[in-house]
Amino acid sequence: MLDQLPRIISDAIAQQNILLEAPIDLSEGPNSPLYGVDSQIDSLTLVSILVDVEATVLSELSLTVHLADTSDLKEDEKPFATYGSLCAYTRTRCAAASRLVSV
Amino acid sequence: MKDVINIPKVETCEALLKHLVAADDNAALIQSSGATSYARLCEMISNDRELLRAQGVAGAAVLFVSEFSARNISLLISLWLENNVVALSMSRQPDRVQTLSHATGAAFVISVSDETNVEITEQIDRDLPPNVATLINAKEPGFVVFSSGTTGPAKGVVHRLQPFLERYQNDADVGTMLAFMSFDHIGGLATLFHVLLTHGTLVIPDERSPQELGRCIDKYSVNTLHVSPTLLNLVLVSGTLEGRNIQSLRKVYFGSEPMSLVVLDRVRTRLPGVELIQLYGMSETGVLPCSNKPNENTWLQVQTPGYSVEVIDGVCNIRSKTLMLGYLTDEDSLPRDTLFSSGDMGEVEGTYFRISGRKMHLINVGGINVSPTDVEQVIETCDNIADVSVSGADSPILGQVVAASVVLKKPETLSELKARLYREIKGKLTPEQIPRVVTISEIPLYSERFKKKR
Repeated sequence: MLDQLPRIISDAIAQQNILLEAPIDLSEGPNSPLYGVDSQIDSLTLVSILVDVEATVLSELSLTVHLADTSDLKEDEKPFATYGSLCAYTRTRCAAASRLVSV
Repeated sequence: MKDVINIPKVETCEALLKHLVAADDNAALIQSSGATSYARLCEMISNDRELLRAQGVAGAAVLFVSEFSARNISLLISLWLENNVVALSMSRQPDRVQTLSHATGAAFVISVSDETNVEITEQIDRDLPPNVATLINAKEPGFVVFSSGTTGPAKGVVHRLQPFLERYQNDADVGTMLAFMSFDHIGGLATLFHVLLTHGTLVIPDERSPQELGRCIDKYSVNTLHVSPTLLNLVLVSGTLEGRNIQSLRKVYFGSEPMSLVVLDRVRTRLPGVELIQLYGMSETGVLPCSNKPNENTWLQVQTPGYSVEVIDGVCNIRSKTLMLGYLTDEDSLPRDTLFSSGDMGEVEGTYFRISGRKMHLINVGGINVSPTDVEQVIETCDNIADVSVSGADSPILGQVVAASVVLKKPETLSELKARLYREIKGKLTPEQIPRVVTISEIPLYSERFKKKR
């Protein structure tokens, strides 16, 4: 079920490309920078992507996740740094939500 | 940081100029292109005054299309020295410039390109708003800031300059301070006044991003920041301080939106030894001289004579020497001792107060106020929209984002709708105004009198 996540995330990124002057470059695959030191996107775009991913995860996977709330993460964790880290972070959140659902 | 220099009281713009002259070779401004000393800034001001006089720009309303730069600061002070009332706008969009010029009754629109080319355009068919006319008739310099939105009617706030000179000349030394708030925002002007009146050094970033903030602190040994809580949160989330030398940082002022306790704790952990001070104020009142309860930054107190916050029936009311003269649309000026209702909800504990809720209706996106009406007016013009209601949605990263609930004329999927809306509103709304949350409502948005979302 969670194999869908890369597609869901890349769709959310593509949605934002409409608003941007230059499309977000994912040519480096999982290592493509998103938000951080080598930022491609600003905070509003990041929030938009997270909102879209949350909505699609809910509608397609029936899981409720809150990606923007990072208050439980350690300070050195950077879930939004790259496309790969965002996929991994979303997977972790979805897996946790899935466990909650099955319990 | 330098000791505060004992100088004569700055009560007029001419006294401000003498005050700047006294700082001589100290660095006034630093930007990528180099540093500008106070002596050099005063030379620039002298030249710009000549330029303005030659063009007859004196005792008038002026729309100054500008952002932070040495030349723009020189021109702004020069405009004040010639007793102009200066409306500030960073937007260069022709429609926006025309709207603001008309609303301000501007006789001139001034903009600068490449730090050297000053374009002065004389306006015709102007009608001075009463509060602007009051200042011009009194030969008194002033300024206008616009408090929300970039579409719809311009809500301009008219201020006298003099109270701000008095307010900041006795304020705490800032050393080297980063100009991170916008030049046309009351917070940006507060930063400018604070630095110049305490003979500090203003660092002008290349852009407003967490990455640039880290770079500037490191490269220019910044001592003081005045930023929004959202920016502090983004700096921590993005890790942009890692590998940077931030030993110079001594003080962080923050305000313009609520600060979450989680973020505050993280900031304290990441910036040990840095003094954190929450400020409170608004375009209408200026930024109040606040101190915080030790280790509890959410509790503030205002003890400077002439400034106070009184919580009446749960609402914060502000008395401020830097209170606006009034809005551009007002017929009369506010009395100087007005107790101004902020609309923010507050609590009191002894001599301290705390903001417990923000003004209704306005959406605070990372410290930028967005008017729902401005957004609704644009979305209503898009295809297949029967009705729309805009409100704020909570965001752990930005505080709030804009959410739009729409009723469609004919069925459409959410993803199709969002993609189409984005194509249609691109360029018509600022990034902060763009709805990040879009939902389709199957039921009408109107109750008898009010839109349901509000």
